[in-house]
Amino acid sequence: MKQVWRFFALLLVLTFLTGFTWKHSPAMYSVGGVLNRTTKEPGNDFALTDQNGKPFHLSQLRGKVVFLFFGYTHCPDACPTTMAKLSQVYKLLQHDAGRVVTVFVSVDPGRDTTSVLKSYLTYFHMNSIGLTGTKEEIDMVVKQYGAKYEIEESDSAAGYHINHSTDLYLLDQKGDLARTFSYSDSARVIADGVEQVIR
Amino acid sequence: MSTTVFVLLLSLMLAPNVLGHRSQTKRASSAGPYSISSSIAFAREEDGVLISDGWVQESPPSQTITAAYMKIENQTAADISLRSASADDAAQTIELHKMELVGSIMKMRRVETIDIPAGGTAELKPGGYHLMVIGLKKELKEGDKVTITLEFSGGLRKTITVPVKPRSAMVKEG
Repeated sequence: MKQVWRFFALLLVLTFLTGFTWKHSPAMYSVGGVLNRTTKEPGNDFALTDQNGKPFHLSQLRGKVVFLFFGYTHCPDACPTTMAKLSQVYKLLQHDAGRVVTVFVSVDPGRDTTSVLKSYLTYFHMNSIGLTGTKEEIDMVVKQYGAKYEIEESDSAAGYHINHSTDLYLLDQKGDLARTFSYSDSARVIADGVEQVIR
Repeated sequence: MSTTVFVLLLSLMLAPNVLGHRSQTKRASSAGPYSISSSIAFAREEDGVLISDGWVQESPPSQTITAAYMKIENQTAADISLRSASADDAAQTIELHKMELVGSIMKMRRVETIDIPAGGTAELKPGGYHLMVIGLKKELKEGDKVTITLEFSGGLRKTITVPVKPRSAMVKEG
């Protein structure tokens, strides 16, 4: 009888917790849903196409520290701000800058062709790779890191725009997620985070 | 039986934590669209509307859009609003847009007006309002100047000439 009670008590706890999680699952942007970064690490590889039209695997960058960022080149605000901030981070890192690669994953395969990506990244003068793919391929990587985006149709002459997460993922030399920076983190905070991973 | 009590107590202890964590995520900060500050007039404009710190973001070579920023100070005793803008020499059209960080998501939407209350200042800046400069007629490079005409409520029209600056010039280290 005691064991039966224990079973029901456990069932009650589990029902409560899982029920709560379902109720609060993000619905609006759920390309990937929420990833619990403390208990579940994303896999440390993915495949897309780089700005030169060549197949890219994250595993190519083993030994390098990677900034992973999701955005689109038509973005007027968050993306250029982040890219400019990273450019500042490279300056702060000085001789360690060569150990860091920025990977910009476009969530706009409709407009961000490989040549557009190439020209966009060249402008920011840093060691970077631009990635694209089919929507399905991109969504898979978005989901892997718990990033989010949604394409919003608009009456703007600029066409549709994309609301997207602004988190910056720092991957270590093994390709594992070491840290996630938020949009408000300064170049100094990010540079310090990189130094911690390198040391 | 004591194990049962323990499990039930544990569930009660865990529940508020889960609740607290979730609601914090939902409550995530959203930066204000622009700051309204009391006006300290360094210069008096005849029409009572002072525009300062204007700049247009340098555009990467492949891009046909960019953003323009500025401060608009309303020194008059009446509320005004920016209704439209144009830069015919540089771009096909200009729209008023607003960025808003909701949690970690940067959202953008088009707005009809940018309101500037009497004695207040509207600051168009990254992460808030901007003029969306669309259909660039040429690449805008640092050192270039762009002439923008702003149309306000009440028929007020002002023309400003602002420099093109790279976004990096606006990012601080700390």
